[in-house]
Amino acid sequence: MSVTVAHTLDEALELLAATPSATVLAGGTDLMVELNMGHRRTDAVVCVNRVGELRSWRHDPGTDTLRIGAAITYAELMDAPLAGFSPALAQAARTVGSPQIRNAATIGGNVGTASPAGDGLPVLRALDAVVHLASTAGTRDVPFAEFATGPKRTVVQPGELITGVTIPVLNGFQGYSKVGVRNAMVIATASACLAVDTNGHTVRLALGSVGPVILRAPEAETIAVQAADFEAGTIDPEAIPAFAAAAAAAARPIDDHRSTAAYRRRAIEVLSRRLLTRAFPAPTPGASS
Amino acid sequence: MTVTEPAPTSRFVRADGPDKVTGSGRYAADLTLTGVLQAAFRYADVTHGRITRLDVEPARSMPGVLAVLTAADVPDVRYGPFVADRTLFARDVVRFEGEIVAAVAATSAEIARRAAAAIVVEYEPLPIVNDVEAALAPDAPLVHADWASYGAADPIVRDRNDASYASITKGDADAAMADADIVLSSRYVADASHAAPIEPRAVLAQWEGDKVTIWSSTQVPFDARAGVCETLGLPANRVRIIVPHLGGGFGGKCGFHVEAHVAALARAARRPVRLVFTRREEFVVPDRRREGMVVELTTGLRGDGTIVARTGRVIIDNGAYTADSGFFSQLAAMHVAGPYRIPHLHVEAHLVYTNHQPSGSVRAPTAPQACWALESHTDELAAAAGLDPVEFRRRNVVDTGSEGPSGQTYDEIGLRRCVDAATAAAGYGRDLPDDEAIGVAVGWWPSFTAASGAFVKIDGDGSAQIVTGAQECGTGAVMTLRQLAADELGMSPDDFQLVYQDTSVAPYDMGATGSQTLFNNGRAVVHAAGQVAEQLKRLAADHLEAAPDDIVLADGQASVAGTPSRTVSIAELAGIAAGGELLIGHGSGAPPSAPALVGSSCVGDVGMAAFVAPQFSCHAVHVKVDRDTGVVRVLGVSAAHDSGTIINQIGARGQVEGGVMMGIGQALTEGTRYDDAGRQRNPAMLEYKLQTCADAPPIHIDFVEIPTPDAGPRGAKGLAEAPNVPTAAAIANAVAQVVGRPVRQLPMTAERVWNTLTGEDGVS
Repeated sequence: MSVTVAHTLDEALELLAATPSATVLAGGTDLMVELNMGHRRTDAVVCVNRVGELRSWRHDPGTDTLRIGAAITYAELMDAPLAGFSPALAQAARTVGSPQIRNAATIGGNVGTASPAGDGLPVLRALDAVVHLASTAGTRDVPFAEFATGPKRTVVQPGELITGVTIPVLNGFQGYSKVGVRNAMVIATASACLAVDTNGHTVRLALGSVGPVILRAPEAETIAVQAADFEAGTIDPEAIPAFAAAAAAAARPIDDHRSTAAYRRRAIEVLSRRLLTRAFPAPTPGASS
Repeated sequence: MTVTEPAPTSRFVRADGPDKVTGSGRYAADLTLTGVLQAAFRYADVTHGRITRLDVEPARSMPGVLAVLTAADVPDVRYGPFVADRTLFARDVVRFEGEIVAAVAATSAEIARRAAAAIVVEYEPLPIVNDVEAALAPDAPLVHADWASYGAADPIVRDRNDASYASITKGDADAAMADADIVLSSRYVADASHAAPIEPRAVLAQWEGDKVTIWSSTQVPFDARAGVCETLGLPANRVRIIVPHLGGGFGGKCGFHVEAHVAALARAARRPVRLVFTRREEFVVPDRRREGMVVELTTGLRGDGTIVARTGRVIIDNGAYTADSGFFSQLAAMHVAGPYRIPHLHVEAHLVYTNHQPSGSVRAPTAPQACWALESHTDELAAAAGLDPVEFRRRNVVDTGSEGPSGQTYDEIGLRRCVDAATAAAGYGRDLPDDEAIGVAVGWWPSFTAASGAFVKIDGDGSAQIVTGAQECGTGAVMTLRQLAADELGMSPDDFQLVYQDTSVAPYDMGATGSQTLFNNGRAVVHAAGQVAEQLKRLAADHLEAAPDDIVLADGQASVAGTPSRTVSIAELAGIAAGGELLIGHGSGAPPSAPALVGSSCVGDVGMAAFVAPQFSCHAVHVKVDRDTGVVRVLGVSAAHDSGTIINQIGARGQVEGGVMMGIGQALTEGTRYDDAGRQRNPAMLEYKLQTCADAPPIHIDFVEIPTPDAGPRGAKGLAEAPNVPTAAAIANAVAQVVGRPVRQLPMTAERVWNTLTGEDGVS
């Protein structure tokens, strides 16, 4: 097996062009497990976590968007200054693995693995992120919604590299919640990200671990938008159960060795209700939660 | 013997601590030898099938392969400590997914694995026994068609898939039940779980002539040696087992496992051979899974809440073979009777073959599940009697002078004081939010009495060694032996080096099992050190011209009592001894015998109905339940233990903390699930969730120190297993208070709690 460490983006892309079947190694938190377990074999590895272009991020004040390099780690996303641009991404990052894992694991790796349980992914889906791909032939941008085609399947072509993601910096509540079987270092049984755009008057709800890919819950979002007063930051309490029910209805969970479809759907209902309640605190103290 | 207890917390430093903390310690998988080969096993491809074809030629002919073994290449020995139902390699029939069909030694682990996979095995499928209750049906398929022909230990009562039946009967339970004012029945089902030590096991074997040395990550080197001797037909003095640092055990590394396979490979290949398990193998292969269990209990009360009668039935999943599990039925029967005064009792337990991984002793075998069932039932009884659960226990538990359920009368014991201490520390009875509660459970556990030996010697320079058969599995119990020897000889623990975990150097000890190290080997070390102390006193008496009885050993000096100026250092005496009668002590001591039982009768009696130096405990656990998701958080644990005199406070507290954390895991997250063929669905750390430091709640510990006669040194009882007994039960009782009724399955996963909350648990 050959392992080549790239130091620039051009170098990484040349290596991938020369060996399109090469496996990209960033933090290695998914890849090394798959290799060790014998779930994947590879003859060539291109290591990208020392590529400066991938290790950087940039906030564009004009469009108020944040471009995050693919090799930015979860530990970096958890803390200032990045945490300020997307509180939900920071929250999701905090739930990933242990400190050691968060120091190694990258956002690009999370996107590339495209697990339905990937903690960062509901946030990217809720924020309508764009995934940046590059190869020696050029670059292309893919909406996150179109990026994953199934569990651990994506539109990335041989020779292509994920270079980063761009998310809008929204004004409004963002939250990420998940249900797992213990407090820390746990894979999500079900997860949800809620993001409110107070300026654009939208509510976005994305669901993880309840379908082959990360799902949005458009009917639930519509219910919330119609019931919300974005200026006052309040919502008609009667809409909250309908919102949660619509979220649960949008889930497409399965029974597997981690949980049952019924419990996952129930968890989505609870997580969605709690997130919306946190986003629009009840107008009067003591009202229903 | 009167010893003024020093402040142990200030003086105890583990001798193995620096090695482990700095990473310089060597574990079995770290070892290597010139020319060492790597081993791999071929496991059964089906969970129950008759081998119709076994062709190892594709492996033998692979470059780099130096040995391939099957049942045809080793003596035809059927072994097992209670029922001889096991062979090193499958002979004709495979009975669980981790059964070893063949073994390969090759120049690399990769080649060994490829070669093992290349072996051709074909099977005729046999009906799979996957349900422990259905396995007891008269027409159930047999896991062992030839069960009746197997040898078995005398007390073991067997019948087809029932590998060990036990009952405990006292009085007339049926008649007393008929007269009871309140009768309540409950049923509980616990999943299997695992010891999950951090170090997967590793074995390295090397022959020199007709002698073999085996380095193994075992908790019980002498047991492992016995297994090698029995299966390969060797005398004990030609098999040497050495245990390097052991990376945890929790019972999972008790018993004889794969030492003989590796030794046989090394003999066939004429090269040293090493085997290192993967995490998956550690989950699937050893006969040391914590047993799944079904418990049905019926208890009759008087109107005032006094227990008058109990009947119970326990069905234990033995898995495919009977490891040390033969005693589980009687021990489980004791645990569903529990530490209560019960005049009329009939409990029975069946240890039932299935096509699952075999069960074996994992920390306090049978107890956490049985205690969980019993103590959940007890809270239901308290509610039926209109009593507070703690008050109900105060009225019914055994205490000093009580007669227990099996007819044993207890000397001074501290169970009620444990209840008082744990509930006080937890603030039991205070107002809590609706989604929080404090649950309480009591538990018990025997101390195990066994033969055990040690040498103590002081060399000419005054430095000392303890040479012991005892095995350190991380509890610190062996480390504590230095303290006992030091106190006996008036020396410092730092004066002693430990030589341990080598069967050819030290006398026998049962190993890191049954919480017995300090209890039995401590006695041996005190005995051996006492002999050396007598020698020193005689030498000092000669030197100081005094009577031996007047010599006092303290602070590294021998002095004449009442005349501190007449003194000689122990080092100087050791120098004198080096030229004459050497300072060598050898100890064993007489193990305490089992207490008498009066008025009870036991079927399948393997000696577990009488508890030597019984340990008692009470845990009070504060939990919060998310009613929407069923997620349970443990906010605090108060644990009170009567384990007799505590000799090493730091080590003892560590045992309680670890036992509690293991109990929280069993309560909430740890459970093995099986597919339709009886294969484990979650044999990996990703899917089998142990508790982590981030999950650990504050743990308050009280030791109710009642020095016990007829116990270990200074009145110590065992301790390592007892803290694992009542935690899950206490959590269950707290959860039941919030939810309104008990969750009848273990672990109480969020989903199961939620199903109970919504009434969808299928239990009326």
